[in-house]
Amino acid sequence: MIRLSKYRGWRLSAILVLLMAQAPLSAHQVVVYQIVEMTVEPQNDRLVVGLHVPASVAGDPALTRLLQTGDEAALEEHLRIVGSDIARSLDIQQEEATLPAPVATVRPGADRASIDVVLRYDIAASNRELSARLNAFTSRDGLVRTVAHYRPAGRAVQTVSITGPATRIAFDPPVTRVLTSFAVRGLRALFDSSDYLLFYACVLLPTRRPRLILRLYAAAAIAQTAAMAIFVANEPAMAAWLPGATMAAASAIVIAAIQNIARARVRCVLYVTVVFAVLNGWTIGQSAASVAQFAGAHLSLAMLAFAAVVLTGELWLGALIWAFRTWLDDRGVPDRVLVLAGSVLVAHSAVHRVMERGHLVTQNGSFGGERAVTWLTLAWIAAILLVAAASAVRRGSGRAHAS
Amino acid sequence: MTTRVVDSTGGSKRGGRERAGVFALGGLIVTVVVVYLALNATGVNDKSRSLLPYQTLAATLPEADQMQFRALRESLLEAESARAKTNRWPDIGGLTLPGADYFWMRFDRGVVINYLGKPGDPSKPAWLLEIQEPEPGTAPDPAPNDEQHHRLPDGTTLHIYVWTHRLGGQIASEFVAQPQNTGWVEVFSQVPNPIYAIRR
Repeated sequence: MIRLSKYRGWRLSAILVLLMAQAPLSAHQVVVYQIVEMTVEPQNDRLVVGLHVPASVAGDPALTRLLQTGDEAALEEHLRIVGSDIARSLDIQQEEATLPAPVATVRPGADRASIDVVLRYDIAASNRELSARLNAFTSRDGLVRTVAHYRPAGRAVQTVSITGPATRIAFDPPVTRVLTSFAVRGLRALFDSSDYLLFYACVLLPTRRPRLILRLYAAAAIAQTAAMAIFVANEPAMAAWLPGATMAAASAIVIAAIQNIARARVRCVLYVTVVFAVLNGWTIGQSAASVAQFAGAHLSLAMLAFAAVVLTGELWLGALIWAFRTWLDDRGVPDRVLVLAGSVLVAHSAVHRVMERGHLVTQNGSFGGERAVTWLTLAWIAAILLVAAASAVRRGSGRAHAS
Repeated sequence: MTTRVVDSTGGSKRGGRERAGVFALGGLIVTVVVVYLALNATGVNDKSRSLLPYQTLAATLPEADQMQFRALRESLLEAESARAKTNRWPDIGGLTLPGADYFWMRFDRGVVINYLGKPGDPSKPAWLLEIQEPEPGTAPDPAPNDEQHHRLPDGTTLHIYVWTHRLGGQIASEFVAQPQNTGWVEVFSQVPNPIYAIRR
């Protein structure tokens, strides 16, 4: 339990409320994508690729006008050129060799504002290691997104959605490539997120026994992995709450720093560690879910590789912080000074994160902006009071038993 | 016979602390190496993020375009060699510009030279090799030699740009004044140094 007098506890809470309830409201930013729909179907020694392309992203400024005016002869010539250009930019490869030019059929779309392209390729019957350069379209009317559906015979459809610069995507990549690429992606996710570093620094600031540290790590690893798995399995529902979760994760760091200052009991540290791990798992789960589409048929293995790298990396960095802390202890740095100074620094940085993420929550609209920050602070205060009350009740019943 | 008393507890404690120190230092080195390797293992798309909207890396182009780009960069060296020898830029006939079905043209305006290649098949991309000599009387460019800066033996610093344009058959056969404003995409083999990169 956190050992704070009532006065000090309320004072701290008041400071937290004042610091956190500052997020101003801002307008929503809506991004409208122009969608290119694509299907890729291997059929023994044939590959059929179908595309539905908005005329405005096809690269030919005359196409939109020709589709409307109905000058069929001129339109046919432009469609032929655009079809060849699309086939060339797709640059479909099998086992890293570009396929010979396909037979292309291009027709105006039913809405006369888009075109339908069908490309037929001859491929090796193995159907293995097919890749394409996706989203090689540009438009002056906004961003372009390509949604490709890969339909291998007798297996589940895999969908890949790409925006931004043209990217080569492997359909149904081999398991070794998936494992290595997801290990690297896991490492990237680890470096992109720095919340856990702040939290670990906080938890490892007081001198603790290695066995206790391992217990805390095990609890955090289980909680984080569970949150990641839930996020990947149910991304749409979880993603809506992500901004709030990242803000709450930052606030958990503040609480951990306060626990250090107040010399909280190990049980309370464990509770906050689990809460933080769930919220951090939420964030890292989002990174995992955003790249899950590149795993092809090996989604489970890819996620395992991703999670294993993240957890190993966290353990490694935690061990490094612990070794550094031990080294400082050996140099005779006073424990209390180190804990107080370190916790204040970490708390300061974490409060800034809470504020920044509060702004994001406002922009996202998933919460009521500044109200979310206030409610978050009140929730923590309520949790602290609940723990204090439970402890008081326990102590009271213990005294009654003794008498 | 003398008896020596050894404080084994203190020794093992000291040994443990030494191990922690060695682990911290060794771990730090390993972490730095892993971070470096992981950052370098990321794809070209991550590197492309530092480019401007009209710029791209050759590695993201279709295979055929990558070959065309490399061949054009080789032709550039040939042109620079002729420029250094004769003090003027060679005509199309004096160069081996790439692409069997490409029709190449040369246009000059002031200190800027365009070698424009239009494809026989209008669905293929057009290519533009743009060379800019220094304006007379300007101070020498201090930028080191790189993909965008080439230095002739007399010290003249050239600014080099390679551009490509989709649907090359639709491009007008004329000098291209501001390629970045007319749908052309500047191609690099690697992300340019932000200190010396030429922003247009």
